[in-house]
Amino acid sequence: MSRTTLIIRNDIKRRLKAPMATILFLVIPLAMTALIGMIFNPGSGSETKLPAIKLLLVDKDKGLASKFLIGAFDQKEIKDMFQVTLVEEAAGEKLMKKGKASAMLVIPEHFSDDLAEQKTSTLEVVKNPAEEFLPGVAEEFARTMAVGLSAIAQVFADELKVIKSASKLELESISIAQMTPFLEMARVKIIALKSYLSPLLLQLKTSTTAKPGETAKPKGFNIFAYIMPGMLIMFLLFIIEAFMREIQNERADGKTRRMMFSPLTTRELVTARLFSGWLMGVLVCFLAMAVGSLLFHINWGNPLLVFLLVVVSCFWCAAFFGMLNAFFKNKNQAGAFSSPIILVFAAFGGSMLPLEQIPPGMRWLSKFTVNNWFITGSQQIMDGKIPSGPFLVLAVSGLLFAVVAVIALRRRLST
Amino acid sequence: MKKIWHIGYLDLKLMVKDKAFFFWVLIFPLVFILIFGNLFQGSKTDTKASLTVLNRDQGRWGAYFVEKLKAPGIELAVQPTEPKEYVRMLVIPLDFSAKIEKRAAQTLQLKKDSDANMQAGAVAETKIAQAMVKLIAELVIYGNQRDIKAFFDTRSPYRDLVLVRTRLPKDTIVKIPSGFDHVIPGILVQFVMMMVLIYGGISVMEDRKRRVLARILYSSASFAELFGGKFLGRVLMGLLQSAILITAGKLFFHLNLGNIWLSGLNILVFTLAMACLSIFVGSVLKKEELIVGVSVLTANMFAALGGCWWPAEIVPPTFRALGMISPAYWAMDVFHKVIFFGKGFDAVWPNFLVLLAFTAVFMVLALRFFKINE
Repeated sequence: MSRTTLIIRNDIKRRLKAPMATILFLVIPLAMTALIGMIFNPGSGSETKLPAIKLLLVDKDKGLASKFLIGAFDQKEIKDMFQVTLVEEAAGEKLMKKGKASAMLVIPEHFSDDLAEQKTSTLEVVKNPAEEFLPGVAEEFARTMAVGLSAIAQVFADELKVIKSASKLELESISIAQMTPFLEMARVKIIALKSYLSPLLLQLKTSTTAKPGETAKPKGFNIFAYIMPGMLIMFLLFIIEAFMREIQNERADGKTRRMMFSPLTTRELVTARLFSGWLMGVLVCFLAMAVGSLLFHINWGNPLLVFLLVVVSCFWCAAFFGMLNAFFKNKNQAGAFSSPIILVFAAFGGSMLPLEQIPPGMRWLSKFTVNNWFITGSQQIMDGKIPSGPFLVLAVSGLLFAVVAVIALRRRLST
Repeated sequence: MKKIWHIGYLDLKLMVKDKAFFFWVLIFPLVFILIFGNLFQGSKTDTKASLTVLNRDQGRWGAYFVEKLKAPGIELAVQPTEPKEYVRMLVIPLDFSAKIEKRAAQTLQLKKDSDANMQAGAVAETKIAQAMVKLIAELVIYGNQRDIKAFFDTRSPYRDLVLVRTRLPKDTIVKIPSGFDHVIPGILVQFVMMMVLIYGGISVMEDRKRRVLARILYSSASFAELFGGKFLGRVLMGLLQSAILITAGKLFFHLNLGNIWLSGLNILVFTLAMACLSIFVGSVLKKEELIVGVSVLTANMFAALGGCWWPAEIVPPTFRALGMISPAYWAMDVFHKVIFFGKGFDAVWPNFLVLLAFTAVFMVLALRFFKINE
């Protein structure tokens, strides 16, 4: 067995004897993936759904139009979307002040009469200031209802006037003969309405398009598969960094100097260190991916391509931290700078949030991170593509870092 | 008391002298604020629900429908040919007018870029649906017995009879909060957790390993003073982190913290809990990387469950209830009550009690496991 292999075997054995830190950094991405995935994808295979919007409804009108509006919330889709509570205005204000609902919709007094008389009236939406999204959804829903009600009021303008005046009369004073022309008019409009609504004259179909070279997210995509590569590469960086920091620790406690008394050369030592860091990363990465497949049913794609991506990514990480440790003066400096570098990579590289959510002015920074290339590569493999771009970038830059690391570390370890 | 202050102040000084101090307490949180503050705003080109309309229609109805689409909150760009880049595009087909005149049903295509902002997308879809309702309403008013060709000369145009006005609840804030008002308290809570747990935990462990704790006890300081000093040091770390972030938030993002005294008290009570937890973590774990790992995991889990990362309203009720096990949840709740609803002490004291209960539990654990020697 060569001296290099001996050191690699020794390094791995030592890690496995005290595996807690490695296990912890393996557990973190899995735990974070599970948490984020479960929060944003509560149903298996279903699309991300917002929780029901708590809406308070104040009916100051109590007329036909307000009943129509309130009735709209009984429709199946709308019922799933809103959790409606009818309240008095004062009680509603109190609840809103406590932040107990996302929004409160106030139907004004004389709402039905105003609509019948074709007068403008205003629905009021009180929004919860502590919430960012749901009050906006409630507002847009109110605006859509307002359009619908305006349209109905205009379509049935004459009929509404008759209903309004009839509602003020005694039943005995209304004759069928008087009502017949209006009923006939309404019938014609209902027939017209039917011809436009069944089937609906205008419908909307949405589709997601992708930029050249990208694939749009398919329906029912696995959110865990979307999150996990980013989490995995972030904590892989932590694991490999801790491994490569041993270079500093061994220098500090004199182990390197003692090893140099043996026939071992600095080149062998440096190569062994880089190789063992890389090997450790590959082992942990595959283990995490296997757990990801079992727990989250992630299909990582073509095994050969996944293997290659993991190999080049871990090589990049080992070479990069090998190089950094050649320039750090001591282990304190290594400790102080390595974690910030990893977190910056994670923030800009797409580990902490999807790349498309990063402000455009900062997005170009992702090109300089291993996270971006690993995430992009993983997604491409999952989409059935060959990630030639990530392979090339990671392999070339990794080799460059490795060359610099070997030269600089040999110089440092021999002094 | 003087000795407690000395020990605590020294810990703070050591932290400030650390090479990565300004990265952890200022630069990194600011990066987070910038990213997350803009997160739900989308790209600059997409803040107003921009919509490209590709009008291929050969009649008058396409242009008429575009008129109906014009509404506040939507930015229209009408194109005769398909542009190379768009955020979302509504396609009005060649036979749009022909089909309307035949009163035949048709489907319009809305193409969305995969990077498009979801919130703005929902607004655009709603506006399209509203425009469709307006157009159908006019057609119904016009009736299906009359000559459709004469529509544009004899139609009754749609009028907005029902308007919508929005406001915030009475006696709360008057200005609609910005994205940064929502994001900064969450980041502040998260970084207080991270900083105090990591720095506080590692320094307890290192002081024990290097026998600094034992040497302090050789002086006239008692065990209680030593523990008190370590506790105070971690509280000061949290307060310093908070002060730096609040100053940066006020200077760069016009952060509104509501009643500053109540928000400050909230930070203090939350920091007490984290200070005890950090001593516990540093006492139980023996390796730096383990402390970093446990701290990162704990802080991230607490932050995610406590509502520091995303608006609590989009989280399913089960997870919202689960969030109550996180001290961050109670601190974030105080921030919401104070910043967005202008509440006073009477509304937030139960939260302070819960945070103090967390402090008591962590304090018992820290005292039980705090060791002077390895």
